[in-house]
Amino acid sequence: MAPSPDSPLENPRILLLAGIVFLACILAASFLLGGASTTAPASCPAVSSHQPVFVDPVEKLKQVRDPAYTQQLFSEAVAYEPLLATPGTQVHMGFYSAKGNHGSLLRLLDTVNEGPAAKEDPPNRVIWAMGINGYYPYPSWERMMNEHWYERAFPVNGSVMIFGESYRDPYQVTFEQADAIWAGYSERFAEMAEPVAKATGKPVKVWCFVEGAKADRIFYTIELPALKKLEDQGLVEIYFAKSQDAEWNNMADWIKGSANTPAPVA
Amino acid sequence: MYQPGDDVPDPALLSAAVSLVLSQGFPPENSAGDDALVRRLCGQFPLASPELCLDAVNRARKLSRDAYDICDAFRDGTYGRDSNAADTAIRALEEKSPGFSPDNYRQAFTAGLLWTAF
Repeated sequence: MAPSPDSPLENPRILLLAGIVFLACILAASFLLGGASTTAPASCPAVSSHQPVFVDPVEKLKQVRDPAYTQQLFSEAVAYEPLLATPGTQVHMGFYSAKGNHGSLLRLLDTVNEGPAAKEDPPNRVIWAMGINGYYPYPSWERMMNEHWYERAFPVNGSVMIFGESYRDPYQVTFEQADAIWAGYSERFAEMAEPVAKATGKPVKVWCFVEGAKADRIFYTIELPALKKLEDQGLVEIYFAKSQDAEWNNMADWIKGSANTPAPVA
Repeated sequence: MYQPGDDVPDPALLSAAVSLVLSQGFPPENSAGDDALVRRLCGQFPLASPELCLDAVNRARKLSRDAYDICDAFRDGTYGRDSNAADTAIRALEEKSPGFSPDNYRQAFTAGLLWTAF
């Protein structure tokens, strides 16, 4: 059947408009898809979709226990902050454990990265397990968060509740696996001090807020032993805050060396 | 609509506040960014006053602080080491911080497990 005189297919203006809309959609889609595969620049806040990802815990454990994961974290950090692999930069790493210490570490991150130390020659930069500061997580951290290991370790009637939505998890996750996966991530991050020190030519200074920390948590069981090995090789210097109010630029607030590690609480 | 401090908060507003607070991914000790959370919550609930949004965020903050303590005790074995330990801990959280939905408690509990892992 031939189109009627009012058919859009016979109206050149409508055809032109449809073409423009079609091209605009293609451009928008390619922009969005392209943007999803790139890392956020330091001037742009990272986007967190909080979209759950259901990964096999056995495969994830293999991934985070592989030393190659350390290199992946290092590459992600350098993509955000090239100074972390620039010869001469004094890189610092922050660790925390126990209540009240997270805020102290965030304060240290701001003091170093946002204060005069960042502009010194050579510059100082501090990183932690989540990212290069308190705002931009490494893609691997964000992925760990989106994998929701602890939510998946405690399903309700076979369903996993994540931010009010119910999901069916194709894998069974145990509490022990969730702990082991986060421990693996933390160990690989601690070991990141090695490629950093080798790239910058300077030992990494490690700042630990662990007042009140317990012996069975990740800091004392995983991170500190990894850091001690690097300390023995001269790749890191370890400092412990005497209190949660310790100021980064006041050395009287710190205890140096793993030989002086504060005892964990029982 | 409930008033700040009332014992019966609006469940939808409160649940949204819990999701916002917990999705920050940080332990509950730092509430410096709560103004932004209050604005985001009021953006989701245009009919709610800023006071109600602030109250909901404050309640969610308290829940997250209590979840930290409960999860710390859970890891110490305070609620036992068997398969019922998690449910016992979640009930303890409910007693410590009443007024939330079962999903909110479970959400806070699993967030607390991450915070206390380190």
